[in-house]
Amino acid sequence: MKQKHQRLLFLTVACVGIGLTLTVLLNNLEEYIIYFYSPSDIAQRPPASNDVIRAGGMVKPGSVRQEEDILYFTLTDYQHDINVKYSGLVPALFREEQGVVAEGTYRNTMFYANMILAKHDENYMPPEVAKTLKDDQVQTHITQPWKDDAAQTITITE
Amino acid sequence: MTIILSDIGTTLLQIALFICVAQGVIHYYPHLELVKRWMPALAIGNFISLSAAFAMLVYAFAVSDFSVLAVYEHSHSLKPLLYKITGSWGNHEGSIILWCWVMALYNMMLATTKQSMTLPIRLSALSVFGWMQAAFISYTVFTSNPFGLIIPTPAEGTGLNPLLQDIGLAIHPPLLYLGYIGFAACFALSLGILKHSDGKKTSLQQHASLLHPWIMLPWSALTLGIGLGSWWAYRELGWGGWWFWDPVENASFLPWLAATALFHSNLIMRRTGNFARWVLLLCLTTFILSMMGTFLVRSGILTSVHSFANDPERGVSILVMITALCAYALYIYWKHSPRITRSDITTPKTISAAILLNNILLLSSVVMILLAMLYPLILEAFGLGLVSIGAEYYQASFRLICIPLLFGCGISFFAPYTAQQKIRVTSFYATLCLSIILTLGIILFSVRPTLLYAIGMGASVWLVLSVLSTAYHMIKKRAPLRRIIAMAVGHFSLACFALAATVNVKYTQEYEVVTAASVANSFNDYTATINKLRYRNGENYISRHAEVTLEYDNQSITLFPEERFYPVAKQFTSEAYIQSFLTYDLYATVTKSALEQTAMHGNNAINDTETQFQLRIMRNPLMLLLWLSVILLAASGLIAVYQNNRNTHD
Repeated sequence: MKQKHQRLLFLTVACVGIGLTLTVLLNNLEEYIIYFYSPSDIAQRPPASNDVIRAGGMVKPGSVRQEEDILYFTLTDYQHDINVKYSGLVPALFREEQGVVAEGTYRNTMFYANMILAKHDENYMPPEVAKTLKDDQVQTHITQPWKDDAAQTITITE
Repeated sequence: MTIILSDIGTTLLQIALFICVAQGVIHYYPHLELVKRWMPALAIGNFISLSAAFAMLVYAFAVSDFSVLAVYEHSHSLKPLLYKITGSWGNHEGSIILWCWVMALYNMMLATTKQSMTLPIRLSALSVFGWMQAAFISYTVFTSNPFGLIIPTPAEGTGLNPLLQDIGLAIHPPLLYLGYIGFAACFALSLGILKHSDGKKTSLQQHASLLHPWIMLPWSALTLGIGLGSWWAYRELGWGGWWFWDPVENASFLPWLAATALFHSNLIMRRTGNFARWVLLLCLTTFILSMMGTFLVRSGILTSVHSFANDPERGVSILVMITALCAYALYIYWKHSPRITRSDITTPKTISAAILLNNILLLSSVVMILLAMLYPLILEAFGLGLVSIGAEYYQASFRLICIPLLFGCGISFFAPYTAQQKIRVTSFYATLCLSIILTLGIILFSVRPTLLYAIGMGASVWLVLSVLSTAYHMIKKRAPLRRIIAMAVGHFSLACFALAATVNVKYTQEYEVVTAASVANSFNDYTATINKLRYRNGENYISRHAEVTLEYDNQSITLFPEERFYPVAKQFTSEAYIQSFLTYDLYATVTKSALEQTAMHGNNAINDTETQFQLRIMRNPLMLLLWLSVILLAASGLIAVYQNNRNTHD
């Protein structure tokens, strides 16, 4: 009989425990979930101004401009544009007509990014971006950055 | 590679497949003695043929034989030899044959080990192992044959992922697989035990000893494997962090957490015969989690910033395999587990109770991670939007689990194994007082401590002191030396890890600036200047070394971060420069600014004196302690493997 009681107690405690854990976890999940928006999504139904969201698209040609430490550029899905303001470092493959994902908040027609993601792969397209773009709009190419014919040293401070 | 050689490679795989099926089938032959004699021979034959096949593939990669499709797609003649060889498992076909080879290795170890186990259990486990391996080899042969040829032979390969050309990532997959697949041995043994055990407590204790090395060995390998992956990310990604809660990292962390819960429970099962059903179920779960991690990452269902070799179609067959294994395992468990003796009631204030709590917490973290990995998939499947779960979710939730885990771990050291014995009250309070004083002292001398930092510190200090106190107690009681070492080193390194992580998270300083060369950038007490830029030709890349002078605390140090461009892959990689000191790392990267990249894209000339660079300087405290504690943790697992072998032979 005692064993039975013990087991019943254990089951109750276990159920309450599991319930509590799941509640806490789901609560956290709800709090830290980040929704993905394409520029068109933002144009149609702008997110609340304090929600952290991710916005993805192509970097619009000619839109990149650096002022001191602040970087301005435009994300586009070829239907709508959003202006992005970002202070921080960009990944190695950040450039025009490259698919990137920015994380941050959207307030008064400006996207304030606190993180920019792009994969270390020339042909990479964030899957979310790929879903919102047509294939033939995706074209990337890159030219060689530095001369590779001879090793050279350039000394600046002298 | 000629057609004949390619055929030989494929044939070797087919022979291995045939042997595995034989190993699975022979189990049903009624003449046990004959089966017993044949099993090891089959396992060795299987290992030899798979080794030969694997060696052939590695050779093809080493000599850049582009007539082999896998080599053509994933290698390039310009790669350094080391990365040509390690590149043979840096792609789908190669990694799956490595998986099979490691499986054959474990299979052979299981078949030839001198470990005492009853014949039916051994044979049944080997039979299950044979079937599982047959499934994987046929998957290799039929969906991803590494010996496929391409005609006519191309002059040059196409693949050269620069990020994979790193020693950390080269030995990372073999270690991970040694972990994942080792749990397949637990899985097979657990099924064997379920089918053939009489379920008495004394036999259950023996089963636990039987399982022990097959949990500890893979656990150590997995610990080291995860550590290496993290080390690679720290050095190669250029973000200066070491854990990003990325899907790839999570996938390897899940089986690690489950296995940690498993071997703790197994200790109780070994000692008392309790927890048996739970241990057997955990054995099954751990391997299924390993497979699931591989599937989710490999299939490309979860996107990660640093995963490779994705192919959704191939993922489907792995999914079918997982479902089949899962269903079979659960059926066997449901059918046979009632025969296994139930556990006694767990008395509070004993080690059993503590380990029960440990298991609950560890498995909650498994649920926590799994939930966040699957939640976006579920939302997307029902068309409820594209979402991702921020790293903050994991950090916030994992903290909630870790804090009681660390404190509870320390407390449990003072508890006895059985209810008859007493808790070591005096040493408990002594250690508690000492650690409170020590923690307060540390916090007093810390710069701007936060509550979280204080709790993390408290947990680490408490754990270190309680480990030391318990180790002393065990030595006094003349416990077996290896057990003391395994227990003390394991928990001590856990405490060190917690300490390093707490300090690292709190005191990491990061400074980012977009700057021209020869401009002095000051921040806090540091001044950083990019002095020179040197361009060099590497073996298969061009690189730009920056010379960054960093002045701080009245000293000056020069850092040489590098950026590489791999013309074949058209990829940039940033090679962080890390200067390690005893208590901190200085970490520097110099990369192109957004404007330079844009200019380059338009093919404009670039002038170094005007160009803006992105400079990142970080000061990461206690990185050395962090890596050391991971190595120690893995070592403690290895010590524990050996301990068991000695005990069974004595």
